[in-house]
Amino acid sequence: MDDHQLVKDCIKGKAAAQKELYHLFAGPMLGICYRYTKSIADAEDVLQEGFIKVFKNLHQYKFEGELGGWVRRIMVNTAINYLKKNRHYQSELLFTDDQLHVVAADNPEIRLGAKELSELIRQLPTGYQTIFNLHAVEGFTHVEIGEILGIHEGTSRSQYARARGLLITWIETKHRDVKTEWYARTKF
Amino acid sequence: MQEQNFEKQVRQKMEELSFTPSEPVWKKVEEEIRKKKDRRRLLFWLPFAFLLIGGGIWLLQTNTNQSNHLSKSTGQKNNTDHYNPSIEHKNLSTEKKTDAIEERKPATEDIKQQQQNNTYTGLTQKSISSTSLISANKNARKRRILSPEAISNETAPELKTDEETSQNKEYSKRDPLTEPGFEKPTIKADKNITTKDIITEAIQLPDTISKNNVPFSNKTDVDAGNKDVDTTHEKDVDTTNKIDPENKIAATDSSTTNKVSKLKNKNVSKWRFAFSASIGRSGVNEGLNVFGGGDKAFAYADANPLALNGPVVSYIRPSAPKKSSAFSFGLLIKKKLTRRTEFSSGLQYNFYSTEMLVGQNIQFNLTVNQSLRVPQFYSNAGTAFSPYRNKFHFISLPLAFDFQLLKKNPLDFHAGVSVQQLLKTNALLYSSTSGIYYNDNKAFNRTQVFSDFGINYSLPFKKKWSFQLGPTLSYGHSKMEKHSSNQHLFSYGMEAQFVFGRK
Repeated sequence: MDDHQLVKDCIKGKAAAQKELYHLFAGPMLGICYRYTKSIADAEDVLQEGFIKVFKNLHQYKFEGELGGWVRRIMVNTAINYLKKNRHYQSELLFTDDQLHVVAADNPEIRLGAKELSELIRQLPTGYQTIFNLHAVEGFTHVEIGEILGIHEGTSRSQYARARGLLITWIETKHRDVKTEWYARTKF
Repeated sequence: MQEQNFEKQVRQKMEELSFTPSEPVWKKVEEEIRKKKDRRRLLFWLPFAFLLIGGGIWLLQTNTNQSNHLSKSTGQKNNTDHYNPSIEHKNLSTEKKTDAIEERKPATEDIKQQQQNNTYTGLTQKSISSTSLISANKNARKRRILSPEAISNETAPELKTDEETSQNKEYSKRDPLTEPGFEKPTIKADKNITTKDIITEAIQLPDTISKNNVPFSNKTDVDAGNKDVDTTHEKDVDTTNKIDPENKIAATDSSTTNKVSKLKNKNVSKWRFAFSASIGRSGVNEGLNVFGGGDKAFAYADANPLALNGPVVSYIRPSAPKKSSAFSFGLLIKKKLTRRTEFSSGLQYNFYSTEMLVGQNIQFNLTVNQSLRVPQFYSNAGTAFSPYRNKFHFISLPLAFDFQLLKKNPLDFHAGVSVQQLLKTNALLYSSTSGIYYNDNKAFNRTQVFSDFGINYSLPFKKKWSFQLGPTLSYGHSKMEKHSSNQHLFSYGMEAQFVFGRK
């Protein structure tokens, strides 16, 4: 079923169409939610809230752009709102670091799998994790991130630089660990 | 460039990230979306349910009234039913009737006494020969002949009345002797009676009988015959009191009909006319929270478009429409269904409006949403914003029921639906892609269905007028826009009605 027909059927309230739409995007959307949260349970909560919003506002989708992209936007907004409302994450979203951090020139090749990389991203402090996700993965500018999170553009840049630096360090450490392991396995 | 390379790799890796959510997630999502739909569905069906209940109550009341009328008319009919002799006899009211009965009674009693006398003479049929019987009963016969006199006295009024009634005339023409099933009454032998007497009596009896209105029975026993006579006399008296059963019933019917019609007039549904007007506020909402949610509803909010590999467009939030004034007026026709239920319909004009802030009005031909060309639009940018009123003009056909809540208080609960046709609107739509407000009347649903609820209190104004006042609430089940948004129009306020005609 193409997207147009699927959306129309979902708006009409057809249960089969709604289930199909859910199963079509649930997997990747859970991945997005997983990146923003610290646990799979929280990720599923965000996913649930996000899909309720998707079905509630599906009539607003005007077929401009891909359906997946529209659902993704809603999911990201839901994740951000979840972080803001959830007391476990609220404190970590208070950005106090005003020192400017320059983005490192390092540009390593990432030889980790998607899940490994996501685990590293999730290990970042919540503030860094959120800004990194919004800029590096979703593509928001620091101005927009500032508007979304209610912080200064400079704070966003600084936080992102620190997050990137940390992540690269962990990725390289991970590469070394993987190399050592491989070496150990092949030689011994 | 280097930065983008790392970010690009991260992005590509994250695109591959996918998990399978647990089963309860979908169940909860489904539950939530069905709940919202059910709530809206309930609201939609609520007025129809009221209509059905009201219709059912009306039908029930109508049937009850009909059965009550029938039972009353039947009761009255029974009182004057002449086909039941016992009842007829009881209900006789004319003097002649009573006189005839009084006259008859002694004769009947006399005959009975004579019969008893005959019996107590100790004569049996076996022992008495015909002549001896005749002779033995001579005196009795003579006395009995008297009874024919008495009978003739009885018949005298009968004769008079026989002449008067056409039915009696018909019967009088009949010859009972030739009537099928006719049998001569057996006469108990009386010693003193002569054959001549017997013959005379035999003749007399048929004569008497011929004057009776009731066909002769097959009873052969004199007693039975006498009884027949008694009853026939009674019947004769009944009939000979000038009242033909059919006529009497007809007369009763007419009186009953009059009474029934009077009763019906009291209960017959009356038509009343009313002029109604209401004033209040209206707004648009996405849910059921009519009073609190109207100002918070986003008309045309759009999510921020994300471009994975390019520049990002900033998110612009449009002005939320706020509640503004609403009013209506029209003519209603009301029909009383039961003592406490009334149905109303009519024609009304409804005005709704909402208010929002818009930027500068720009006179410029612009293509909106890749298809619609507009000659002018309002911006959603800058610092100079001014209020703009979205106006909606509807003509509506309301269908409603009014239920009187309390027996002794004229407090009514009003519930119904109205089909409203949008005549004209200047409402603005928002384009998230262009970030402007524009006008497109075709985007709105022209025909909308509303649920109407209210409570009104009637105050007698003049003899035939009454004034009703009370709060009212309307909710539109149809979406405002055809293709997007899930906004519904609603209004609340006070309604007044001048009603002509008594309830």
